[in-house]
Amino acid sequence: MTSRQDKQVVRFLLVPDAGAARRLRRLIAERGACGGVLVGTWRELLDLASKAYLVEEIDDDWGQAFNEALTALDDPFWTESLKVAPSETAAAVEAAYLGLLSTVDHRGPLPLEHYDGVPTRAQRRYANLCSLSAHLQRKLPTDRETEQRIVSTDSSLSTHLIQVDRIPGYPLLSPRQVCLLEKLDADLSQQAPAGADAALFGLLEQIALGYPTASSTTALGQVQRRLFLPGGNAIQTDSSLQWIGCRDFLEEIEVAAGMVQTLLAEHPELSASDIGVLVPDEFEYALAMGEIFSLAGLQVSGLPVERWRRDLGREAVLLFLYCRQKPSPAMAIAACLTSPLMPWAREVGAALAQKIMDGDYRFWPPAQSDRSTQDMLGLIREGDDSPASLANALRAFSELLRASADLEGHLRTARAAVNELIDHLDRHNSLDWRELRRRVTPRYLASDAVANFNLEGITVWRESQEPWKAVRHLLVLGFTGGHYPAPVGNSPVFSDDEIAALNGALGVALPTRADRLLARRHRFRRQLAAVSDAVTFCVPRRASLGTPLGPADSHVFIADVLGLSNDAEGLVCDLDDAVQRAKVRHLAEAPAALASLPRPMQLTDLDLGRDLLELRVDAAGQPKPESPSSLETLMVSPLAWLLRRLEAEPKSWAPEEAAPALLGQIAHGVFEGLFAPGSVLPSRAGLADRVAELLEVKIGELAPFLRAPQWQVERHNLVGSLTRAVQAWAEVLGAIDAQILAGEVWLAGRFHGIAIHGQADLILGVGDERLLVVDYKRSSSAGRRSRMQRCYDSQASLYRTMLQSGGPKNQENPVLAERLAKAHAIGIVYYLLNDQVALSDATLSGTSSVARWEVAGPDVSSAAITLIGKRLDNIRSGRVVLNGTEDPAYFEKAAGFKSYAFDVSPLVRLFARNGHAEGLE
Amino acid sequence: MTALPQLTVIPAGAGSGKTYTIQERLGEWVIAGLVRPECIVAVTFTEAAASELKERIRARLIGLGRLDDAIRLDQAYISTIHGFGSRLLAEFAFEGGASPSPRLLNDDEQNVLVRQAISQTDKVAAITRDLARYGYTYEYASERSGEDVFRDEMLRLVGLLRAMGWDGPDPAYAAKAANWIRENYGMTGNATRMNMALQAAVEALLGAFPDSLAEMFPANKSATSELRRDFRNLHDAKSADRLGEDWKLWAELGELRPSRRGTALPDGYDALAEAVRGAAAELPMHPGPLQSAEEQVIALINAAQDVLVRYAASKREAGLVDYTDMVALANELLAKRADVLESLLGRVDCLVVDEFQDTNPLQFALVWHLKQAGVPTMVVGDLKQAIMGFQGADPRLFRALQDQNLENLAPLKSNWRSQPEIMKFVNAVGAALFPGAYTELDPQVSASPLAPLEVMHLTTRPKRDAHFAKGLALGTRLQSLLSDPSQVVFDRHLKQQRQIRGSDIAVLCPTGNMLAGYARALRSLGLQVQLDEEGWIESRAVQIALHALAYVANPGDRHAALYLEVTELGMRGLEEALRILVDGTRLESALLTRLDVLAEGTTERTVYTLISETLATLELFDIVHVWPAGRQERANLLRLLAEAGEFMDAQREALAYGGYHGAGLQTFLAWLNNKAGRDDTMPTPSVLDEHALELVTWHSSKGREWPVVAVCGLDKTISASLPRVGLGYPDFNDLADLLHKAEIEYSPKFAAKPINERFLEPLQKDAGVEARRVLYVAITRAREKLILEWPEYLAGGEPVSYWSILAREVGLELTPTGLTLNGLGFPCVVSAVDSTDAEEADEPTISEPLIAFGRRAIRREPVKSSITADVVTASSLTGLQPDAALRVTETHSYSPGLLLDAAAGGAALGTLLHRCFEILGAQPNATDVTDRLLAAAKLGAISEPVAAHVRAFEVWARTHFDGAEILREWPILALRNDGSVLSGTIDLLFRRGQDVWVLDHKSDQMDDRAAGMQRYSSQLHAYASALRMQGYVVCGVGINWIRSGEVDLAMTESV
Ligand code: SF4
Repeated sequence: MTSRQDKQVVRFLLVPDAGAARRLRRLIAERGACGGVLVGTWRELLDLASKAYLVEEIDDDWGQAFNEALTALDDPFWTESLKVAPSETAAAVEAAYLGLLSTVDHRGPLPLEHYDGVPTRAQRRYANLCSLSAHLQRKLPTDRETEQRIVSTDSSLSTHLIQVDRIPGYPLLSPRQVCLLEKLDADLSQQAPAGADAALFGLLEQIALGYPTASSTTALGQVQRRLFLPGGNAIQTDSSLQWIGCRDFLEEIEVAAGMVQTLLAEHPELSASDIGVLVPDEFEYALAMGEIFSLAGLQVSGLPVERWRRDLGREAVLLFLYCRQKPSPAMAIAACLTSPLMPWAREVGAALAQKIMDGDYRFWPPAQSDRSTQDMLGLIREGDDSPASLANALRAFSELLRASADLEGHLRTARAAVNELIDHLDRHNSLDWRELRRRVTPRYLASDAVANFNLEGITVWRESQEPWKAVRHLLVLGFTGGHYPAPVGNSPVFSDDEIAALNGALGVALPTRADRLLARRHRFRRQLAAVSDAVTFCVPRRASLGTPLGPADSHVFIADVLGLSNDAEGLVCDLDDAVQRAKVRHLAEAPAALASLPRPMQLTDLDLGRDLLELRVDAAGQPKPESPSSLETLMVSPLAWLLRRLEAEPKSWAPEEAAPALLGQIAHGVFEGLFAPGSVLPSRAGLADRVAELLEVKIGELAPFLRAPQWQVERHNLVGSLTRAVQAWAEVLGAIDAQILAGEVWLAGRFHGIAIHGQADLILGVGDERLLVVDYKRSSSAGRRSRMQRCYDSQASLYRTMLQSGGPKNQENPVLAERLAKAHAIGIVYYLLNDQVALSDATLSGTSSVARWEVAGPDVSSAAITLIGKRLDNIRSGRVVLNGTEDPAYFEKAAGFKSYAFDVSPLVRLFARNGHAEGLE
Repeated sequence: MTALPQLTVIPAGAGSGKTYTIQERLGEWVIAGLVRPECIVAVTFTEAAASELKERIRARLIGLGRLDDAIRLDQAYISTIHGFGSRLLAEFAFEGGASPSPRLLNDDEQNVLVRQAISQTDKVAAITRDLARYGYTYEYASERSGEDVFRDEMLRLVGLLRAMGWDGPDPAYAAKAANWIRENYGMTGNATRMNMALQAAVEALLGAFPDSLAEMFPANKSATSELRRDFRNLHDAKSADRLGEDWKLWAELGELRPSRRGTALPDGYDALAEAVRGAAAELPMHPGPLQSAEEQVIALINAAQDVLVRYAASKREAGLVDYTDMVALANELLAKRADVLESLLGRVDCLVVDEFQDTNPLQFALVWHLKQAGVPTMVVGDLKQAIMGFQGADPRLFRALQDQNLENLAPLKSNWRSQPEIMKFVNAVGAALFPGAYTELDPQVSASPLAPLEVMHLTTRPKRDAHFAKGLALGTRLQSLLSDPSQVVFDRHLKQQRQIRGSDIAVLCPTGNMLAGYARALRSLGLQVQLDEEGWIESRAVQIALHALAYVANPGDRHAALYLEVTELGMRGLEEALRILVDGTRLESALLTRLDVLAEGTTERTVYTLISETLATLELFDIVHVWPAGRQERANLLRLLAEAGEFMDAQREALAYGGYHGAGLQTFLAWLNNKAGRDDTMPTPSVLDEHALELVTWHSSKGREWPVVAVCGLDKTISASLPRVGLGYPDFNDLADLLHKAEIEYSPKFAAKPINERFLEPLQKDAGVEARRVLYVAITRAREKLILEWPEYLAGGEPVSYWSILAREVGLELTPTGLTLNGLGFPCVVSAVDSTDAEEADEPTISEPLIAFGRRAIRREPVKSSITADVVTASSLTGLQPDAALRVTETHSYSPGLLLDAAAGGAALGTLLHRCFEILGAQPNATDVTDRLLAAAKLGAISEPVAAHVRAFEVWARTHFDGAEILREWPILALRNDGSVLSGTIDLLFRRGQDVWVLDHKSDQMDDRAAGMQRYSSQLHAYASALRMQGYVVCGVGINWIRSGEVDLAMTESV
């Protein structure tokens, strides 16, 4: 008995990952209960040791210290890159630096004494990293600091000692790590050795070395023994191995589920956990596998369950930044309004957002909204041009955010992000939006769900982990390029040959890319070695997007064991090929059956049993007036009309774009501003400026996004083309001696027994007794001409009808009223902006010498008017006539125009009958 | 062999085994020690070709027993040229001052960055203010606005400049291009004179006829519209300004309508009109159009250079690269940084360039740096298969390389693809298509029982829908082939003959549009076909899914609800559903209710999860896979899921460039809509559809082969069009300096026809050359049978077509028994086809057999619910019903209770107290450590009381278990009865020989101590039984109630 009492010793079996730890724990427990022994990874060992040696938690300010050191050096190799890509560069340099740190047993890389054989580029870089280390003084990242402290703690201060059992290369340890282990060993050697249980080490060895578990007379057994090794005689392939070609990952999983069922049915002696499935780490596999295996009633064990979650907190802040930078993209506003952290209900946000997406930028607060709603909407509406104002807005924003209990974490994230931004803003005097956004860029968050490991389930291994349990049958999923082994990237700091040279010069062993790949290959071999009976490799031939995939890199190495390196592809049996499929073992097959048709759609005209005009009535219970455009929709597609009326049109989002309709609206606005009663046009030369001015105003009102530089070509071309159109129009008006009576005037009247109304673009007086209703169109004359010649015009003609059957809605324009009373004839005019032609149904004296005036015919609307009348009769009796498949072509050919009514909803085309709609011939 | 040849040029005709050659050579070189496997650079033109090449070289090395070398091959540079470039950029990122992990920008970003760059240049202001005049107008076919057409032209020029290795603004680019136009334009005359003459003639005519004549012939449409146009033109021509810039106006005035029969114009008009026409006919001699064209091209090229400067800067600032950068920046790096080139040379032993004919000048320059620096180089390619001109490939480079290195040429001379009779035919046609430039290939495969050549002799021109009509004829013939058991082909997987089936046959057409016509025809005959088709987003499965997602995103979406209710998955008719909406009621159904559940709390879930859950909720995969074409629908749904993954992977900043903000469903749907607009191709539904004929364009058939190939669509005409832009070189003498010599050749579209013809002539010639190459590619795809369509009805017609090249230029003739060429006969099966009146029939509804494996084969069963955990931790047993009750036998008080704030508590405090007991138990002097721990938890006030408490406990314990060894935090592992592994840590174990006592610290406030004992009894039992398994005698178990300073001990005989 020594005077000093021996310390308690805990034995630690070091393994590379949680999978191996789980497997070893069970092997130990199955051998008999055991005390004083722990199995774990390096991380767990570090935790244990830091507790035993009373090393306290360390504040983590490594990241900041490192970033500061990066900029402190005088022209290191990363200078330029750091400017353009700060985070990527920092990550690359840090990885290289930490790599070097792990090879040496001091607090930084050693100055290189002799440069023999080290390329100059590597020399310079190495020197830079040494300087970096000098700048960092004795600062280390948390883990390294912990290791450091353990190493320097006297064992007399520890609560107990640790005996670490490990196998070289399993896992690969850096010299620093070895140093720590040696320290633990040394402390241990100072007291009497405890009686070690040698069998435990044997178990560790068994899994570390990947002892083959299949018989050496089988192909699998040979693969376990010889994969990636040269030499040996080829063995014929047998029932212990098979490869199946599936279309994609989903089919792999479906086939695997069936195969597991078949295996279990064919082999009653197998328990589910004897069957393993090895899955790639992509979350698609885990998600689909969970779903499909449960369809098959198959319990699984060890299936990864981590799911990504949205980063709602940072997202709200990022979107808010977009809102405050004007002009803000409409979708950013919409997305911000629908953030669950907003102080209003989900439906309110959805409705507000849809309005914006439909082009209404005003987003008034909904009726009876509370204070915080109004404040938040105000914040979203405004913009900033100074850091101070943005900081204030962010403060207010942060205050107004709300979250339900389950989203409180996001609220905290959002507030932290806001604080970081404010902190940044306080230190700068100009707004760098890109930098601000970079600071709050959302990232998908991992859920903290943990996998369920159980005894009844199919054993699931992951590609990146050691097997956690031996199995008899294994299905390898995703046996394709990029897996088995997964690729390892190159370092931008040192190339593999430079690392080799450094290793030589420094006498260290920095792992090269090749070393890391080798470690992955070894793991794959250990995975295969843990299977005793048979392995099925599933080769997906296509990625989900449909692009072709090749087999995994290891495939040809396995084929080599079978002597088939020249025809590795021939080993794969594609399920799509009946002959090859017949060779597949354990494949589940369903009885033959024929495809069955889905539910057919009923294509008969609809009878809704009531006057559909009454869907929308005024206070007096009278149907509200229809507009010319609504009647046009009705004419082309009653179903489209009805869906609009029911507000059952698709609600979708889209980025803002210079759509023809929007540009048309803007053009209208410009014309309205220039051609109004009493307005005097500037000279030809001044016109372009005036058009540009008006355009600026209209864009601000209707489409602020067009101010962004990427729409410059559109703006230029608008100025040019509108100037030309305005000039020509002014000349036409002069030539026909027309007087402008009203612009953008609301008219109302009656048509076919119903009230109609609408806003006419322009009303002209010619002579004393003639009026012209003008409609501007931002298109060319060809289409409009053909439509008018086929008598299918409806719009301008309906305005004329309003003038004839009613008049202006308000009586504030006495001139117009007076002229209307005197009018003998009312003509219609379309002015086509793109080729500057005026198309009319009115023959005026003298127009034959006006080059841009054209008479399309005396009757331009009869067919349209008849058809609209028919459709009105239909809907008033509750009938909705379905379109025919030929209708779009009919309207294009016989009516001379292309209608967008067919695109109001996909239902319009889906419920089209063969041929024409009733009433079209 | 002691050293590698510096340069080997291997012309390799179709099917001559070039990959095999490369693989063999590299294998030899590695074995000879001349090449380190990781130092091979091999570039080719598609990812697929690159991975195949790597795979084949690897297999070769393994076959040679060089496993280690095969493993080292992993690090070789075997990739596409872009992959090679981007790897260089990453490896030399710091030299290039670039991001070490640059991001490839997407189409939206590129689009916006280029747009922004365009807004920074003032050089095209004149053009952008009048796009229409410069020919940039709405394009019906592509649905592009004039602005888009203009921007695309800018982009083309930007691309061209970059392909020329542009490295800084230089007015010479524009000057050379203007010069090129001038040289090709021809003589010009005096503008003032011509303008005045035309203006005078116009004024004379308008003076005599001031009114429009358009109303004269109301019944004659063309007369009316022409006279109207003429009148407008004459008016416009009164303005000298217009006459000085509007060349289209000149051209149209040159076609002023004269009197015709039935449309006689007023007396005197014709003479005056003739004068106008005469004056306008001078247009081809007018210097104005030339000057306009020069100005336009100068403005465009200079603006494109401005754009390049801005665009490059914004990419650099954002750490982005585009596709071209991968090559351009890598090229720049090698050109300007000797140190980089030197580093690289240390890592490269040889260079292989495959498909060399497809390189563009920039790509050429990149690989040529290595060659120039002395890397042994092997280039493989086939000028006859150079058909990628539309992507910027420049086969002239390969031709020049061959011409200049005749001594290094090693053409391949065998063919490993086609049976001898086909090869004979190909050799004859090839020699005639490429006079003096064809290497005959010697067939290596044996004859097949299939008749090698067959001709579909089309005698009459189909009246309408020609592709459909010809498809019917071909389909009928193929049907009889397929149903004839004596028609056998060699199966490469089975390595034996078997009866021919659909997938053995390919139908090749020049265009996708033609293929669509053939597909309709073949389907109408009941044949199955496989081809790349549009229509993904409109497919039924995707539409249903998208509407369901719209509903999940916003359950207030009435349209989505209606859609789901009245389509395949719903239960209502349209009328019934609309009646509900008309009544102002909300649509409700079981289907919608299930989606409502999903819509609850969608907030945190990602789009991928939501889509996957929506599909599961609708059971859509299950539903569609039994539909006809269910496999296609299934593949379509899978693409939807994959798109969600892509959306999530996209960078926020990148999405923002496209106007997409947020990460929710609506944003995703908007993004998807746009993406489908660019690529709406349905993914291939299966790896192989045994029964389906493959329909492939000639271009994409390159590199592939089938047992039976039908070459169709030879009636396609070949014509060049204007405007057109390309690269030219004065000569190819110095290949290393090629980039500096390249110049832009911009052929504008002029108003005057004769000028256009002048510019078109060389282009038309080039088109003819390219057409011959495409033809060669098409006829060399067949292994055992080649079917050739022979549209003889084209005979005597004008335009150049693929057929006229074969029949007129090559001299191939059809006789009733076969084809003849230059006196050689090729016996063929000739079927005469009269397809004048092919009638379109409805597609027959085939009852398609469902595939037997996969989803359908899964037996649906409920999941069994009882499961046993693999590992149970002892602490998790807390509160479980014990196997047997624990009876407290003694209670010891070691200290008055530890006074803690009642509010203090919870797991964190418990852990801390445990830790204090552990530390101070083992190291009584380590109070500094525990002080700090407690202080950090804001419990500094109790550090002294805690230390005293622990001391008291230790005194009691050492006394009570006198002489026993104390083990703290003692880990145990054991197997439980149910098979799970127990893993736990005993706080304190007192051990005397075989006798042990177990003690656990508990920090909860436990007033009812009996209940407390019960609460922890399972845990204590578990420890006890694990210890017994190890052979110990468990004398007792107990709990140290920290707060009250008491220990309860229980005897375990009762356990
Ligand atoms: S740990 Fe190893 S590395 Fe660190 S100081 Fe002590 S000896 Fe040097």
